[in-house]
Order: sequence, then structure tokens, then C-alpha cells
Amino acid sequence: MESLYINSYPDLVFFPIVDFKYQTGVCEISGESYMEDTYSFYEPVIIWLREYMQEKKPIIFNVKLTYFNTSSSRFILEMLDLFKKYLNEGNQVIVNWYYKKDDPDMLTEINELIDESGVDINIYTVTLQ
Amino acid sequence: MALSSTYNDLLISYYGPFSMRIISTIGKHLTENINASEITKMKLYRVFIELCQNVARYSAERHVLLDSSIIGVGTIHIQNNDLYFKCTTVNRILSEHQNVLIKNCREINSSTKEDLKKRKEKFRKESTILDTGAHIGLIAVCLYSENQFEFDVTDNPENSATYFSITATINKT
Repeated sequence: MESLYINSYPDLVFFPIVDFKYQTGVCEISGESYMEDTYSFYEPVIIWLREYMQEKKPIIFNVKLTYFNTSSSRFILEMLDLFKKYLNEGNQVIVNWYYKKDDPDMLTEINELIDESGVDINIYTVTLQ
Repeated sequence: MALSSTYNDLLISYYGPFSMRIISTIGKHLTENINASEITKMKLYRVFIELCQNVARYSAERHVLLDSSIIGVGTIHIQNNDLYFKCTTVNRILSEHQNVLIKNCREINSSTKEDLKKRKEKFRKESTILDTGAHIGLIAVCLYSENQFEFDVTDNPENSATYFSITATINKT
């Protein structure tokens, strides 16, 4: 299985960078997410995660999104639901979410995703570009 | 739909196809060049993106881009005074959709914050994989702006078209 790296459109701010490393299990998503067709973007990401999870290896999932729209949130929730199932099967997942201090709405979004998915998320305030 | 008049500066006004490049360029301008606190700028940005993407997805007036994709056409205005920003979109809708749209808008505006969060959670869970809209854009606009939005449906007798306008108000902090 290969790592997954998506930075297809570096000049288009509405596609995030996806950097999932197979060897270490460190998976990071950063930037902004509000592309028109969220399904086409996130489908390969979710497929990769499902395939990786078959190996029962630990995952460290780092989120450094400065903005995501409501359509993207559906797929972020789907990833968290996958992690919840993975955890319930006795595997290891750590989710870390880094957000800008001056963005209380992002903190609200994160807490809603925690409530809806049941996954613990470590939340950190940082300076993000 | 008339814009608020004398006491608001018009910061941005655009009519045309709501492609992602247009939306992202205007959005970038908002975050980098608007004089407001970071919290207010992010609220305005979030509201702006959601309203614009609703136009892109649901406007009954469509435009074919060079890459053959089809995108909604509409108008966006952003106004500003000392106390708030107002973000308005206007787009054509099918007349048979207006009753449902009015009903949804009234329900959202009359809901408490907690009710809106529950509706948002419900729609997010129920949306199908192929439903790119997620049905929760207007709910998100109300939650982010922390104000009821103004909306209107009007008929233009000149072209027999029906138009939906929505204005979100974002208080400056």
C-alpha cells in the first residue's frame, strides 16, 4: 500500500492538502476545504483510510484546516465515524486538531464533530497560515 | 431587491457565474483587505462562502464554463457600516420551488440556536454521499452570523422569472 498525497491544485485555495503516510500512520489534512464536488475529492481519501485500517496499525490524524464548508463537514464526520469504529475494534487512533485562536466558530465546529462522532479530539490553538 | 441605502458602504458587488475561482478570489479579498477584527472577518468569510455556493448549486440561471461545467449565476453584494456587514445574494429560482424555500427560511429564522444545531446535525447525518449541498448551508449562515437573515422572493414580470434574495448580517466585534 502506498502513502496518499493530494495537492492537485496548489493555486486553488479551496482544495486542502492531504498527506497520509503509510509507513508511520501519520495523516494530515491542511488548508481550506470548500471545493464544489466534495464527494469526488473525499472518496479516494476515505477509501485509502478503509484500506489502511485493514492492517490494524495506529493512526495519528492531524487536522490543520483553517476553513471547511458544510459540504466538507459531512466527509470529515465520515472520517471520524471510521475512526470511532476502528477504536471500538481495539485499534489506536489519535486525532489532533489545530485551529487559530481568533476563530471561535472553528472551535464550535470541532466540538460539534466530537459530540456527533464520539471521538476524542485533542484541540490546540496555533498560528496557521 | 433594493440594497440598504444611505448609511452603508458597498464593498463588493458582482453579477455573473459563481465559479469557484470567482468565489475564492472575492473571499480572499475579504480576509486580506477588509478592516475588521479577525473574528468578524472569519464570520463574514464563512457566511459569504455558504451563500455563494448556494447560488452556484441552486440558481435556476445557469452558465456553461470553458471546461464544460455548469454553474449558477447570481449577484452578491457586501455592504458595511460601523456596526455590521451585510452579505446579500440574489438568484433566480424555479417558481415551483418558492414555497418550500420560503417555508425553510421561516423555520430557520424562527428556530433557537440549539434547534438549529440539532437540525444541522440531523441533516449532516441524513445527507447522502452524492448530495454535495448537505442541506445545511442556510442553517450554517444563521448560526455563523448569529442573526436571523432577511429573505425575499419576488417575481419579475418583464421576464416571468422568480428571484430569491437573502441577506445575512454580521455584527462587528
